[in-house]
Amino acid sequence: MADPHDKLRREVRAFVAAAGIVPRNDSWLRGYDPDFTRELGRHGWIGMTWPTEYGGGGRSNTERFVVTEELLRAGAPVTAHWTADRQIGPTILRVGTEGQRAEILPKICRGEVVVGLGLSETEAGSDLAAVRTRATPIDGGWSITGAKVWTTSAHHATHLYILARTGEGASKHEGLTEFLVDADTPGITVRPILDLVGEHHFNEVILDDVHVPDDRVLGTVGAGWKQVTEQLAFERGGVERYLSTYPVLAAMIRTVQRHPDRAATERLGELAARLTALRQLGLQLAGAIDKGEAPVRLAAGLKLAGTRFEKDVVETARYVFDVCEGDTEAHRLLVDGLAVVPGASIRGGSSEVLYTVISRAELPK
Amino acid sequence: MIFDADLRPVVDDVLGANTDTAPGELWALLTELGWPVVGVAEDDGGAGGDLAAVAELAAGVGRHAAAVPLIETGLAAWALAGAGLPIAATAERAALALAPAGTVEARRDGTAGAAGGDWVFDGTVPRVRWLPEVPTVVLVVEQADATVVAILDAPPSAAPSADPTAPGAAAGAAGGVERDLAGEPSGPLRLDGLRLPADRVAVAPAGLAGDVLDRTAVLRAAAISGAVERACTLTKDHVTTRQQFGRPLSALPAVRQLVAGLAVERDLLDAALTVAVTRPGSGTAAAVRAVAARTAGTVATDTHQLHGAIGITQEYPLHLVTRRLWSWRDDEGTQRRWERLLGDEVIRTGSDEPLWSLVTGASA
Repeated sequence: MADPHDKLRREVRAFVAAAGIVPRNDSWLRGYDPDFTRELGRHGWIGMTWPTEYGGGGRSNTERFVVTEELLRAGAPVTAHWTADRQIGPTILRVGTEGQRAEILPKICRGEVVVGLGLSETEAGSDLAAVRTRATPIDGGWSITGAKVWTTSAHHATHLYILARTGEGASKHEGLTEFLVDADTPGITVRPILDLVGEHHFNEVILDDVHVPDDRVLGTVGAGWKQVTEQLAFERGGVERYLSTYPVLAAMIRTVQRHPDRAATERLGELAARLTALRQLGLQLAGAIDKGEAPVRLAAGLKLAGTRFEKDVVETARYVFDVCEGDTEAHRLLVDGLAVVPGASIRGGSSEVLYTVISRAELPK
Repeated sequence: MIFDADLRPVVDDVLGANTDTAPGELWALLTELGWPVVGVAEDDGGAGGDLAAVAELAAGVGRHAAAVPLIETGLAAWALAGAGLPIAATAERAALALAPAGTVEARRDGTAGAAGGDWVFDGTVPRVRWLPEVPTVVLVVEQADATVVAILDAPPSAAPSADPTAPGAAAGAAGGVERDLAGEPSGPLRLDGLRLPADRVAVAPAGLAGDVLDRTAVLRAAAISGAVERACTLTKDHVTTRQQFGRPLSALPAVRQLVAGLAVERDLLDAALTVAVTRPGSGTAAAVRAVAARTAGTVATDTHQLHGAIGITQEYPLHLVTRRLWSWRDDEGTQRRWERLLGDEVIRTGSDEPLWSLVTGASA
């Protein structure tokens, strides 16, 4: 069966080849390059599923899937627009006002918007509904006070997505509201949180009486929980959940071809078989989103199995680069990969939470 | 996993209602339905239908632990049709013996002159599923530049035929009928100078042997997926009904996590099967076969663990599928063998192109 997106795939490959990328693992989280992002925007590869009236490409999620998988295959620096393209743009489209769509979506498509994701807090990690950041009504809008952690790219952000408590309900899932806050609003302080190897990707974001106008509420006041869980299907179900260490895998292929080893070949065969299955799950997810579904259960399974795969890629590489004499570049990627994988099964829903999501679907009360 | 939404309920009706039917009677029913030759073109004497339909039948064999050589007979007929031989010989059940290059020698008897006389076969195919209990075995011999396909009579009894070199008579399973862990008969096909008349043999293109192996791998994986599905269903029923500590087992977090893990493994196998059925080829077949072997082991282990002691009794039906999982996963080579095959393909050029086209289906 011919690949129906062959032409698109070739365009992305040609662009990537010409860009002269030094591949990185986790390039969607650690590869901040605003120039590269704007270039992708010029090619129409940001917001490509959104309606053309908002600057989007009017294309399918399956086509977006093809573009993102080719970009991560190359380890391309796509952090600057990743969150906006993956989940905040779609959220604005789904629940945002006409004004928000017209104002923000075209900018995202041009690669001019960097969104910092303000979900987690010090006391609300896996238990996301425990957020304490509070938004209180003021004249014409809201005053937000609180603190968010693990906010990737907040130090580059033009906008901050903030999940805040606006009321109390019978359960902690009630009374939550989503906001999209301009990053230059007074009262916002961004402090770096260096990762285990000393790189700066995460931040703590402190909000102190940040005044946000009413038109920055996303969707319905108090309906934040339902909206955010739908958003998570987008966050969890993408190619970045199994391709984050692909550069290591590619380096293994190169290495074993030069220095054949039977056990290494078998291990690569195993990884290839598993990747084939994972990628099909990813494709099915993109198809489900095209049908207007928010496949939360499927996304949880993909992320759980995908991040396990990413870890196994790096573990396998230790052996392969040893017995098959990996070169300097191979070892650089291995070191890079080792630093990446501990976070993979935590961010965007820890594996333990995902097990819970899946077991609820498998064993309904 | 649903391969063919129209066929699946029929498969469940037929195989689900006949788990205790005598093999001969069940076979007559399946023949009436045309199932043994689904996937073989009608022009070749088959019932038509695509690979998805055959996979649906194979999954049904796994789901209902059907003790019939439905998959093997279909493969035998498909190999015969591929070689231009009549498929009628498979009507009363058949086994498929795949002889990789170098394991079986097939040659024309030189004494008969240029017109060509009988074929002579030498060699052994060590494990042929169903061989001791079927009247016919289809032998597929891989050669460097051709595939030789032959129709052999397989004596249903364990005793070797009186004259093993008589035309058309194959050596059966010498030394008694083996039953593997699945309880299915299996035995070695020994060919010591076996002679066959030319009308029982065909020389087909070299690629046919590989195509038969790929199809076998995909259908075995489909059967495994059916057995996996049943094992998971039994397990979910068990943990939600079995009470311990005053509540169902499914209230225990450790139990819930294992059940969720099973579901993920099941979904991955189904995804690999979808790839193999929609993009058939040697790479996708090896991939699904490797994933199926891995999944079979994990699922058999974890479903037994979750069942506790009742699961290891004869009376409870879990063993019907787990014994098949343990047995089927090693047919046509174990997991590592399939992974090596795939690994060789993946490292072929040193670039990631072969991997990427396997995974995405995209051309290089």
